[in-house]
Order: sequence, then structure tokens, then C-alpha cells
Amino acid sequence: MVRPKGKGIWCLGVGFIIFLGFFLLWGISDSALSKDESTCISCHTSVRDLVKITREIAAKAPSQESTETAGEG
Amino acid sequence: MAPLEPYERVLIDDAFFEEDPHGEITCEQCHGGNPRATTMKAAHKRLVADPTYPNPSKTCGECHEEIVATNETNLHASLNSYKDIIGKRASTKKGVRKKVFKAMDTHCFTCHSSCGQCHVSRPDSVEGGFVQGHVFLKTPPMGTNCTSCHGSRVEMEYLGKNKGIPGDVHYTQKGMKCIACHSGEEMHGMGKEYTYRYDVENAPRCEECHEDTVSPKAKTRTHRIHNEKVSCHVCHSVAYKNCYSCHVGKDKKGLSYFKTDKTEMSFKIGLNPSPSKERPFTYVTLRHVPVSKETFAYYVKDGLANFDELPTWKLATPHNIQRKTPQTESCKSCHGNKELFLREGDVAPEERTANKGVIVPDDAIPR
Repeated sequence: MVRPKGKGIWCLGVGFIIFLGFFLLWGISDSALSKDESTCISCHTSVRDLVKITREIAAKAPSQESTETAGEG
Repeated sequence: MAPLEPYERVLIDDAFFEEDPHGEITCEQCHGGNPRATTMKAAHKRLVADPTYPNPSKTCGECHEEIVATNETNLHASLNSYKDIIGKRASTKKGVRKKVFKAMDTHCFTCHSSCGQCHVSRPDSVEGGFVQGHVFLKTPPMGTNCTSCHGSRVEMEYLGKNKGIPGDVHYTQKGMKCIACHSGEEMHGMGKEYTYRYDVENAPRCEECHEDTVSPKAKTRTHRIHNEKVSCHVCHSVAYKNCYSCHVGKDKKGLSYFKTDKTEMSFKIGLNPSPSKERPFTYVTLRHVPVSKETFAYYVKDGLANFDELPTWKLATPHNIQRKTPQTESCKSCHGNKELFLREGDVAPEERTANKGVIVPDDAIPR
């Protein structure tokens, strides 16, 4: 029985592409991946976002410092 | 220390991810929270701002096991001195004592440090905030992490910020930062519990550098004569800060406050309250500490019922060392100079019993 030569090469090619895809994904470091995905990082590295958010928080939250504190500690 | 803008306190620098090995750890591994949440509230749920306090074993300890193993024994973390001193002065009545300790927890224990509050952020007690964009610093910077807490006394003295009084020669002439004397080993703890900072074995000692100066065979005659009789500071320190009284409580909004009374610059030589092998001196410099019988009166009456157990004038090592001081001018600068010594008249009447052991009687003033 003669094996279909053209189909075999096609399967091998698809397999290689899938393998290459996984290899490349695996090759990207965890930290770089998480850096892109993490809300923590996207927010805490953006001056613009932090200025806006911290201003909003400051406007809502009362001061935690008592005005009665006096003298040197 | 310049204050940080609120956003600066939490802004992470790219250098943290690019240059600091700690940047390879995901945020949630140390801080918890939810990195996939889309709102701030959800992202910060169960977030721990300082994952190194009180127990750094599951964060820093994963890699720095040896250092973290002794962490609980360093005084910045254990706060043993507060517990010991207030414990000795506190009433022995169970209910009263409990209230004193609760007040201590609310007020005194806010001053502490942790791995993160030395190596990453400014301490919480000075509102925190990253020192360098969350980059971990092997050596904590003096201004943001040492004198930010040790400011009123140490910083003012060491840097020469008290009007008319020079800074410490170790800083003004040699530019030495805190770490030059106070090593990482001292800060990290030795694994032995201490309650008194002067007992810490690897705390700095002048003779570690000035080896030949402090010895019965010292070159300088005055050093030979006074060896073991007076502490180095008695001759080489100048006027330093003394604080009086301290009252703690909560204002109408429920916010904690403290109030100290007067602060004054003075220089007083007294009797050594705790002579030891390392500090056998008869005479030492004494500093008045901010405490009074009424410190916790807001919370409980007679909280410090055993106030007289400890002196309010404590052994001090002012950080304003000079080679030449008014005391080194001549023998008569100290001998017979009653003004330099802590005498009964210098002590408030209600504190005289507490300071009985450190007040210098007239007949004990060197002639």
C-alpha cells in the first residue's frame, strides 16, 4: 500500500506550526506576561491614573491626622 | 524630609520590573488582592499593603530565610522596650493594666518598622510611600527611612539642626550615615530577645573605631584618668533635646493624638542608672524622656501607678559628638561645676522619687 505523501507533509507542517506557537508562548517570561495582564501594574505605573484616583480618594476621605496633636514626639 | 504627593507614594517605577529581581515576583504573591479585577475596590480586596509586617516569613523569608529568622527579636519589630518600660510603670491591677496596654497598642505601637518599611517604603508612621518606585534598596536611605522617625532628637542633633549647636563630627567631617555605626546585623536582630537597646550586643560602641582612645593606656591623659568613670558623651557631647510629659487620647472625631509639653535644650550629667560590663561608668549623660504619671489618663485613672519604678531622666547617647566641647576646656569645666550635673532642683518634685538613682548629690559632684 502506498502512503499519501502530500497529506503527510501537510500534517507535519501544521504540527510544526502548533509546536512553534506553544514554544513562543512558553518563551515569553511570566513576568512580562503578567505585567501586561495585571491590573495592579497597569494602574500603579500610570501617573495619570494614579493622580486622578488619589485625588478622588483624598476628596472623599477625611484626614486621619488629629489636629490636637502637639509638641515633639 | 519632603512629603510625597499621594500618587508618588504608590507609583511603581519601570526600574522595579527591569532591574530589581523582586520585580519578577507577581504583585499578588506578596500583596494578595486580585490582579485581574477591573475596579480598584475589587483589585484591592484582601490586599496587604505591607506584607512584611508583622510576619515577613512568607514573603521575604522565602528567599532571605536567615535574616527573617531573627526578625522578631529586633527592637524595631518587637517593640520590647515599650512593653518593658510601660509594663514596669503600669498599675498591677489587672483591669487598669489592660487599659494601659490597649492605649499603648493604639498610640505607642504605631511606631515600628518592618523589612518593607526600611527597604521599600518610608515607614507607616510618616505616612509611608515608596522610596524609589518600589525598587528594593539594600541600604535604607538615612533621610527617608532612619531620621524620618528618629527626627526630633537624633536627626536634629546629628545634622546640626538645633540652633547654635553644631552637628556631629562623624557627619559634618566624615559624612557618615546611620548605617556606618548601626549595622544591618543590629537592625535585623540577633535572635536574642532584648528589652533595652543599650544591652544589644552588636550595637555600636565608640571603641570599635577609637580603639586606642578608650583604654587605661590611652595616649591622651584625660582619657586615662577618666577611663571607665565617665561615658564618652560626658566629655564629647553638647546640649541636646529633652522632652517633657506626654498625653495621649482621642479627639472628637475619634482620631488618636499625643501632646507633649515643653521641649528644651540642655546638657546634664547624672549617675549611671544601669552600670554594666560594657558601660561601667559612674557618670553618664541623661535625657528627659516624654512621659508623665498622667500619660494614659484619658483612658484610665492611675494607669502608671508604678511611675517611680524607672527614672524619667534616662541614659542618653546624644548624636552630636565634638572633639572639643565646653567640658574639655579645662578640669574646672566639670570639676566643681554644679550646673552641669543633674541635681535635685533640676527635677520636678513629682519625679524626684523616680530619679533618686540618677540625681547627683552635691557631695558626689567631682571637686
